[in-house]
Amino acid sequence: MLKYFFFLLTTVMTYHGICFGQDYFRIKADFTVKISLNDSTKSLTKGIVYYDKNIKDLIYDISFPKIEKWISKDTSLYKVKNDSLYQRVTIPSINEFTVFHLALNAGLNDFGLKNSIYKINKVEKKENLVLSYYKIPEKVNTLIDHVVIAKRDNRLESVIMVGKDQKILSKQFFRNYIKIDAFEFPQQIIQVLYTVSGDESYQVTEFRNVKINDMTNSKLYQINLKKYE
Amino acid sequence: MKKVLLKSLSFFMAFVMLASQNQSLLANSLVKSSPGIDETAFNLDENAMNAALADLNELDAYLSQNEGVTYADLNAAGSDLIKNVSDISAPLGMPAEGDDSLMGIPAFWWGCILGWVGLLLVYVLTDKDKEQTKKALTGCLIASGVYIVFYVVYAVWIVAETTALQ
Repeated sequence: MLKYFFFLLTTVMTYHGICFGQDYFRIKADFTVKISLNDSTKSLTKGIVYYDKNIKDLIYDISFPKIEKWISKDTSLYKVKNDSLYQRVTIPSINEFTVFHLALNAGLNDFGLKNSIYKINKVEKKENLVLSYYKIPEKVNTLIDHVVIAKRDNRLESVIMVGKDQKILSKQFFRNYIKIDAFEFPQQIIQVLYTVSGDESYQVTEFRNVKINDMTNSKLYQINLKKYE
Repeated sequence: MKKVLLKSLSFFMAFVMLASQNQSLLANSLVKSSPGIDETAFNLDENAMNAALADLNELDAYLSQNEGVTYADLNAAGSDLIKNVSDISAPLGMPAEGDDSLMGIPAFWWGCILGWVGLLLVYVLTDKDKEQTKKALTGCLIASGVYIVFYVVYAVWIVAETTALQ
């Protein structure tokens, strides 16, 4: 009897480990970023993005408009063309707040705000949406007053940023989720930005051929930046 | 009597203190609570978005069928697909290459006005940015060229004047 019990226990634990314990650490996808600003400026960028949450190098292998690589590492953005660094820009450390890092760490459903300095101060339900209001601390010098996260079936659907004057500054919509085992990833992210006069700018990011835990091309996920120093 | 008065006063003071604490907490929670958002805010005007992105969707469809084509290729072919599209890469969602100024002054003018000092400042302040430093160097070289031409002309004029006086 005890033998059967242990056999059953082992089987259940193995199944649980396979289904729920898998670590998603690496993502690769074809991306397209379409930008249409309210001043009629338009741009299209295409390529392949690579991200490994343990390495934390965000690599954009761009094929259009020109062939180049952008590597975001810590607070630096390296731009490489013809295997030569042509620009290095200091930027805020963004990699851990990207959709890639959040999705790989199962933190996308609250937009990564749950474990941030922003404090949730209201939750309400409107139709099928659960809205969580995150207040920006006073000490943070920003134009944003609060952020509203909308979830449907515990899946992130929209993020709305509201300004100090209670006007909407930007909206983000996360759509066309792809599900690979327990991993979920939005294949389309639409961002609408509003100017003071109410004009709209659009930014649509699309992902295709999403690949998780690719072990065949490990060197694509880490760039040796020392050769560019 | 005195005992009763003291007890009453203590009770009143405690009540005032509790009431003020309560009011303060209530006011605090009112300030922190964000106003509710209208449901319509979660709607997206698909028509407006598609109209704004029409050119880009057309270009994207072409590129999906013709892999490896770059902006330069389309530009050389005089393609209408890039008529209203810039050649700026923006994978992070922001046109980062448009502004090449340093403290509001383009790198070229740093080199042009301040010479090698401007060139050095651009090199250091842009964290060894090759593109910006090149622009500052161009400014520096152009300024030096103008300076040399000016002095040559001035020297020729002085020599001509001196010769004329003799």
